[in-house]
Amino acid sequence: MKIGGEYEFDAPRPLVWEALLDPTVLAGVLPGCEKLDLVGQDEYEGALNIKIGPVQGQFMGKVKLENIQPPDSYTMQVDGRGAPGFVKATGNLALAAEGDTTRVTYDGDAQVGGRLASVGQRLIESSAKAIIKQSLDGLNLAVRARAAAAGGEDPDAPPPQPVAPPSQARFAATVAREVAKDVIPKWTLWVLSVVVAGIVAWLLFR
Amino acid sequence: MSHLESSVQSLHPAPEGASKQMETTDQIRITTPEKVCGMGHRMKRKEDPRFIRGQGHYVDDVKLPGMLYMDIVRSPYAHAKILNIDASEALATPGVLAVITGKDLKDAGNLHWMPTLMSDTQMVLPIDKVVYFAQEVCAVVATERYIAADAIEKVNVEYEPLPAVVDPFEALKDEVIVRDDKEKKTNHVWHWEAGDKEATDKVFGEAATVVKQSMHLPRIHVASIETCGMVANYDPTMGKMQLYMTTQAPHAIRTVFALVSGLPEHKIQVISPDIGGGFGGKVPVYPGYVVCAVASLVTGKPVKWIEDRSENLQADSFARDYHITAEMAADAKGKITGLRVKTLADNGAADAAANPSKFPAGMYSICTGSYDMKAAHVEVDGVYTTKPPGGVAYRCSFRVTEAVHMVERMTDILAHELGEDPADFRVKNFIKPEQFPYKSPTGWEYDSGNYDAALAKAMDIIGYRELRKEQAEKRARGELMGIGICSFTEVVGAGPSRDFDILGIKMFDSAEIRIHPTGKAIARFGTKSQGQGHETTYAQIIAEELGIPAADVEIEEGDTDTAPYGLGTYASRSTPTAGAAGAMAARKIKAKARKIAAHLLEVGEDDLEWSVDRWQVKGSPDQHKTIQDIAFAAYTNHPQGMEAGLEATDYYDPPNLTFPFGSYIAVVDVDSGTGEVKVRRFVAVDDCGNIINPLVVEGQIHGGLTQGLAPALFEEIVYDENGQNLTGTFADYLVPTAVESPKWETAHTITPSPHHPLGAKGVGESPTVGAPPAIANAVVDALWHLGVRHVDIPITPQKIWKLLRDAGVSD
Repeated sequence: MKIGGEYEFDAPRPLVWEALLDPTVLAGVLPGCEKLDLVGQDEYEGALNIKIGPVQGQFMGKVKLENIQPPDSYTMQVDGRGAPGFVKATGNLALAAEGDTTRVTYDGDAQVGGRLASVGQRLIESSAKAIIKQSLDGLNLAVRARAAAAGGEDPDAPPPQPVAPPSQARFAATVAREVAKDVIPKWTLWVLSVVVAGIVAWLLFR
Repeated sequence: MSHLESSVQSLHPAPEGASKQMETTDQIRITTPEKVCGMGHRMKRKEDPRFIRGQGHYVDDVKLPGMLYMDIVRSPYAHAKILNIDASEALATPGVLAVITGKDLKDAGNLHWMPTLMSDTQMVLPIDKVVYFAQEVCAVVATERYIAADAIEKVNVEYEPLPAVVDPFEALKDEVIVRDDKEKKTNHVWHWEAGDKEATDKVFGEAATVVKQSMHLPRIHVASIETCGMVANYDPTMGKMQLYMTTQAPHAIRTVFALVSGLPEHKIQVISPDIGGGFGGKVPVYPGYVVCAVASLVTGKPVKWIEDRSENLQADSFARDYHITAEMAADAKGKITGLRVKTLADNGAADAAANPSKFPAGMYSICTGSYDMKAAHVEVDGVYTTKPPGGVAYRCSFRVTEAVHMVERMTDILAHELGEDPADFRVKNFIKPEQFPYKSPTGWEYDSGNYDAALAKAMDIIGYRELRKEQAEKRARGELMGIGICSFTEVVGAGPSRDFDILGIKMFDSAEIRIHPTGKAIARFGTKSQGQGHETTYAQIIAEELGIPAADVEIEEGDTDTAPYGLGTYASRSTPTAGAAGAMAARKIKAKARKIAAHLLEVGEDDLEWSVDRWQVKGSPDQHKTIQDIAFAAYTNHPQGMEAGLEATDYYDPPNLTFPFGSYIAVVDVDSGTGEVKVRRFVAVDDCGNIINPLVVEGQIHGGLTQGLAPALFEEIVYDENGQNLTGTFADYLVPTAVESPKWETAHTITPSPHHPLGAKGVGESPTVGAPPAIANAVVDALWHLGVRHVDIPITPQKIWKLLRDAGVSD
C-alpha cells in the first residue's frame, strides 16, 4: 500500500521539526496511542490500539528514524505486530519552510498482513489516511500551542491544553469520511450534506 | 494411459434388457404406485421436516458434559520462520487449560506431520516455519469458547518473515523453496500425462486450423454454510475415542486416524451428524481435527473446535487454480481432430487434494468432452506455492470442471474462428449415439450418451434460432447480447477397484438392509449425505426393488460403529456406488424372500414371479405373499434349514464409471457502459440416466447451477504478492444469492447407464461443471465482433469494462 500527501503547519519549520521528533507530543496526537517511548538513539517503541471495521486489537511497534537531516527530512521504519496482524512500513518526511508556515511532504510504502489485511483490507487505506490526517491535525494544534507559548503573537492560537489522542468515535468518523471521499463524487457529498442537514432540521424543529 | 484399457466387465448382472447402446427418452420410468413411492416419484424429502424447522443436528449442536473448547492461533505470514512461541500470558488467563504447539505434538509421537489423501505430507502444527497465510500455529484449550477465542490473541509468536511465492510460474524457478523439509529442493511436485503424444503431434501437423488459448481457473472456495468442526470425546476408562466430525467420508477418516494416531481402529468411532454442505471441502483432514482429537486425549475430556467463517475461507482446502494452455486442431471440413493441453496445477503448500491415487490431476483427461476426435494429449504439472494446501474438487468430480471449461471454451473459439454457428459446430463434432460405448483418445470408456438429443432439446426450449436473429438486430444497434452453449460430458461414480483407490482403499461403496418383522426396514450406507437427500433417494431405491413404501424405510449414514464401510460422498458417487449397493442388497433379500414365499405358498420357486411388492404364483396372482407377509414369516415361520431374519449387505464395486451429460444454453446481456453481465435466460437439459427422484434431481441442479454462476461471475480467492488472503469474509468473497441468480429453466433427457443396476448416473455436479463455460461462452459470443476471444472467469464488470474501453466501446 502506497501512502503519500502533504500538510501545511501553521508554525515555523524548527518548531514543527522538534514536535515531529518528540515522543510525548506524538503520543498525544496518534489515534489509539497508548504509549510511545524513546528507547534508544532515534528508536521508539510504542503500543497502539487499532480498530478497523471488525478488526481490533493492540499493536506493539518499533519505529526507527534514519537519514536524519535536521530540519529538512528523515526516513522512518515502522515494524508493528499484534493479534490482528502486522504492519511493516517505510516512510519519508520532508519539511519545507514557507514563510511562517511549514509544508510537510510525506510518502511511504506499507505492507499489511494478518486479519488486518484479510478482513479489514477494504478499510485499510481509508483508515491509514484517517490516522495520518488526525495525527497531523493534532500535531498542528500542538505546534500552534507551542508557537503561541513561545511568541505569544498568534491571536487565533488555541489556549494551551493537554493534547489527547482522538476518541474512537472521532477516529471512526474520520475513517468514514475517507471512505466516502473514495466512493462518492464531491458534488454528491455536498448534496448529501444539504439533505442530511434538512432532515436533521426537520427532525429538530417539526 | 493404461487405465480402463481392459474391457468393462461387471461383477453384477446388468439390468434386464440393457444393451450397450441405450435408447433415449423423455419419459421418467415409474413402475410402483404412489403408495410405494419407488423410483421416478416426486417424493418430498424425508429429511426436510427437521431441516426447515431448524432442528437438524450438526456438530456444533453436540454438547457433552464437561466439554472444553479449542481455538487456533494462525499465521499472519504466508512464509516465515517461527523463532519463538510464548504462551505464558495465554496460560495465565483464568479458564485456559493448555496451549498445544508443534513441539508438543512431536513429543506425543510425531503427530506434528500427517499424510494428505494424496500421499503427500502436511504439517499439523509447525515447529520451524509456516508455509501459508492463516496456517495453524498452535491451539488454545479453555473452559469456555470465548475464553479460548480471547486467549489466542495472548499467544505471542515471534516470526522471521521469508519471501512468499504466490505465482506457480514463479514457483517453478525454485528461487524460494516452499517445502525445504523434502529431500528434493524443488517446488515441482509431479508430472502426469494422458493420451498419445506422438499421434497428437501428427494430427496437429496435418491440421487445417489450429486455435490456441491460455486460461486460468482461479482459486475458489466451497463456502459451505456450515464451517468445519469437531467434538472429540476420549473416554480414558474405556479407551474409546468418539469423533463427531464434519466429514464427507467418515470410514476412510477412521482408518486414517487409526494409522496416524496408533489408536486401535475399533476404539475409534467417527460420527458425521447432519452436515451443512460439503462440496468436497469436508473430505480432507485438516490440522484442526487432529489437534482437537489430541486435546481430548491429553485432557481426557470432550473438546469442541468450530472454525469461524474467516478461518474457513482462508485456511481450508480450495478448488481449481489450474493454469491451462490448450490447442485444438481441425481438418479442412471443420471436424475437430485433436487436442493438446499443458496445465500447471497450483497445489499450495501440500498436495492435499482428494483424488484417487493413480490420478494426481483427477479425471482431467476427460477433457476431450463430448467430441469425437482422433487424438489428444494432456500434461499436468503440480507445483507448491505458499498458499493453503488443497485442490479438492468443489462439486466437480475430480477436476472435471477444469476439463470441461477448457474443452467447451476451445470448441467455441474454434467454431467462431471458422465462422460456424457454435451449435451446428457442436452437432457436427459430437460423439454419435451409435458410437457408444465410446472409447476416448485418453482411455475412458463412455457408457452411454445422446448428445444430439440433449442439445436439440435445449435449443428448442430456449428458441435458439430466434435468439440468433435478435442478437444480429441488437448488434446492428450497438447492443451487446451473447448466447453461450456448453455440451458437457461428466465422469462420476468412482470407481472400479482396479483403477480407483484413496490411500490404497478401493473406491467401492456399501449398503446393509434389515427388514423388521412388521415389514418396515432400516438401511445403512457407507456414504454420507451433506444435503443431497440420501434419506429420500436411497429409500426410494429400496422401495423400487422390494415394494416396501419409501416412507417405511429408515436410512442411516455417518456412524462408523453401525454403518458398513464405504468411501463416502463426493464426486457424485453416491448413487452410482452406494445406490447400486442398495439395489443389489435388496435383490439379495428378494431372492431369500422368494424361497420363503415358495415355502409359505407351497409351490416351487420357479413358479413364482415378482410384482411390485410381492411374489405371486405365475398365472394366478391371487396366490401371493407380500414382502410384509414374507418379512413376518422370516422371523416367525421360516423354512427349516434356513437362517431366520431378512437382511443383506452388499459391497458394490462398479464395473465402470457413469458418464452423465447435458447441454446448457445461457443468454447474456452486457451493459456497454458498466461492463456488467446479466444472465437473461439459462436453460439446462441434463441426462443422468434413470431418475430416482425428479424433485431431488431438480433441486440439486438448481443449487449446482447457482454454484456454477458463482465462479463464472463472482467468486475468486485473491492473494496479494505477499500471500495475504484478501478475500477473508463474505464481504469480499462474493457468493451469489437469489437476487443475482436468474430463473433456472431445467429439463431432462434419459439415456440409462447400461451397467448401473438401476440405469442411473450421478448428477449433483453436472450443473457446477456445465454452467461456467456456458456463461463464459455467452459473454465472449457477445464481444467476439469486438476482437475478444477469451475472458477468464470470474467475469467481473471491471474486466469487461476494460475490454470494452480497449475496443473503443466504453469510455
